[in-house]
Amino acid sequence: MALLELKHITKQFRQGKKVVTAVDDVNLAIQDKEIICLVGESGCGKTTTGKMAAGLLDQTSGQILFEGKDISKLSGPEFMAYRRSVQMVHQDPFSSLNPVRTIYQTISAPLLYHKFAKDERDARRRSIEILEMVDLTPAEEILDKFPHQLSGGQRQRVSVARALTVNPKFIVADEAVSMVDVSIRASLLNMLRRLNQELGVSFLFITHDLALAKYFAWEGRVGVMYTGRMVELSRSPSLIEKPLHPYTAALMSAIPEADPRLTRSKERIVLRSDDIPSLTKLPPGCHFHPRCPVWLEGKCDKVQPILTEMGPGHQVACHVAFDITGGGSKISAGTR
Amino acid sequence: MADTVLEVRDLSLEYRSRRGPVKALRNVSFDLYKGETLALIGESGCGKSTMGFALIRLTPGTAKITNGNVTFVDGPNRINLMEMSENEIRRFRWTDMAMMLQAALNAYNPLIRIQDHFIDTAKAHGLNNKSEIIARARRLLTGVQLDADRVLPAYPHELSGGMRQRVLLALGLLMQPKIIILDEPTTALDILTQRSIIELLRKLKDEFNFTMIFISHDLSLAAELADRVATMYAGQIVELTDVFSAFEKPRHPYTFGLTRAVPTLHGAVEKLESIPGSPPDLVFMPSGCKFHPRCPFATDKCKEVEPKLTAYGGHQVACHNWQQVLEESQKAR
Repeated sequence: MALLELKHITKQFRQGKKVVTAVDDVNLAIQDKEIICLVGESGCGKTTTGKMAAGLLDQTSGQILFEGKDISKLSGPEFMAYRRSVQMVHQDPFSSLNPVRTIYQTISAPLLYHKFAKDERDARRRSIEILEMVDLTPAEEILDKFPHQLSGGQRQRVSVARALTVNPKFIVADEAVSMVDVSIRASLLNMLRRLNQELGVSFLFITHDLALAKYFAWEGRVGVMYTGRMVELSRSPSLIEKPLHPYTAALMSAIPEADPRLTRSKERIVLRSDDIPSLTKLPPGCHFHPRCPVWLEGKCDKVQPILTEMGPGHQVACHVAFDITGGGSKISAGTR
Repeated sequence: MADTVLEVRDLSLEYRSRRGPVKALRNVSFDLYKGETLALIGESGCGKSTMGFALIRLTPGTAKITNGNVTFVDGPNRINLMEMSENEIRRFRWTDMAMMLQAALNAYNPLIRIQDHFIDTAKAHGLNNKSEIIARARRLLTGVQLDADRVLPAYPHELSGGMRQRVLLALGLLMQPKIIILDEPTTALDILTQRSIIELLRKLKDEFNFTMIFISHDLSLAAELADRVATMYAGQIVELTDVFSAFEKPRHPYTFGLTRAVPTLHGAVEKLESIPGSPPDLVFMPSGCKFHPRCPFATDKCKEVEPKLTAYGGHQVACHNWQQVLEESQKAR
């Protein structure tokens, strides 16, 4: 049984008279101790999916199961347990912490509320333990500081510590390292990976950076979203080494790498158009077909492809990938 | 290499603050060569954006350039920017040296159309023929792969992030400047848009032959676009060399640390290493080498004596132990 399962999740927002489908029929099952990265460009629905998984946003249709039970049908105490088990870490450590509370106040509030600590003294002891878990030392001193006295990286560690207070089984981390300086990003990622290995916390890690997804979720899976739909979902090595969706292949070919020889000799896939379609005026058929270099006329512009298993643990929603055996190589050998 | 277009000597700048002067630039010296692309890299607060602004004296009221010269070399003419009057420098910006700001949206006046941005800019620099300005704007917009008919009458909010960045490039090139400074040119953009801006910058550079300085915290952008890379730390350039040496044979422990902190998409998954600690407080800086509290190579000398940027066969570095760093970086490869 999956820890958390999204079944045919759709989220629509109203924009005046228009209806915007931000997330369109997404299926995703997150296992115990698993790391899944959701990648995609802005507006692809990755954050909305993350918020629904964390229970912070209601879906328009579809079901969310936590340990096999529909969360909309949970009883009071069961819902509390679900809420404790699923936590979220936000992107911006400058606005996600209350500026007038000390770190101790921020960390101890959930400890006391959810009765993980019996009194203030116990809460303090536990807070120190948690801060040490996220490598915030000296924890004693940090506890009495305010967020503005900490650096961006330290604040993000406090955000993670706050999520850890309630012993969650699952953390949704939305661009959790993208506002932190490059030099300290790696240690944050390593710390999160350690929490996964040592405490067995599952992660849904949302990022626009595929290289980062590869690093963080190498033992896990990566999902690529485009215009609200999951277009490719696979075990990370298979996706990185042999992307099957032309959009994934295009993203990978477009990313500059921190190695001058490599980045200057990379094969580039040139798209037919640079414009991301508006969510209120999505093209018919496959949403990617107006940009796709390998589209099939009469098929891709008519029929929307469905996410289908193409190889072991590798799902893709693309007619061309379906048609060509070993489609990935064909796609990545596209035009320069 | 080619001729110098800009000579920066001992440039120092301080911001006023209640806690005391913030030393954002400390005796920065370098030459910018004609036609090259120089990347300024470093963490937030290392002084890289301040440097961009200081080079064209576009610093805010709280900043003061306390020392140094910036000399623009145009054939036989040498112009010291620090000695220009306000009027002269205003002319100079955009006609000889243009800067494109970080947040593409904030660079526009939200109340006027794109075409008026072109007209206002051109008028401020002595061009008055409206139809000629519009004709020039059209050529440039086509050059940045935009539909001029659609973009010219539009307001800034009607354009997407990538389009705004393109218009900004066209606007920057309006007066055909010889030097262009770009502050985080692709930071807020999506991957595919970023790629098309990168390709566009390459194309424009071929076409217009300008010299480019770009400021970025993104190492991969430097790897992609730069001819030379200047690493900044605590208001100074600590390493300046060609792009291949910077990534493959770094001699400063900070540059070395940065290259090990970034994941790559190709190749095996290697364990990333952070640089311990955080950037120094620019009001109360550590003694000696400003990087020593975070440096794994630091010795007693580093705590006392600040190393000067010194050239070793074209590779400039400010580190007492650069040979050791180089050795380590070769082992790590």
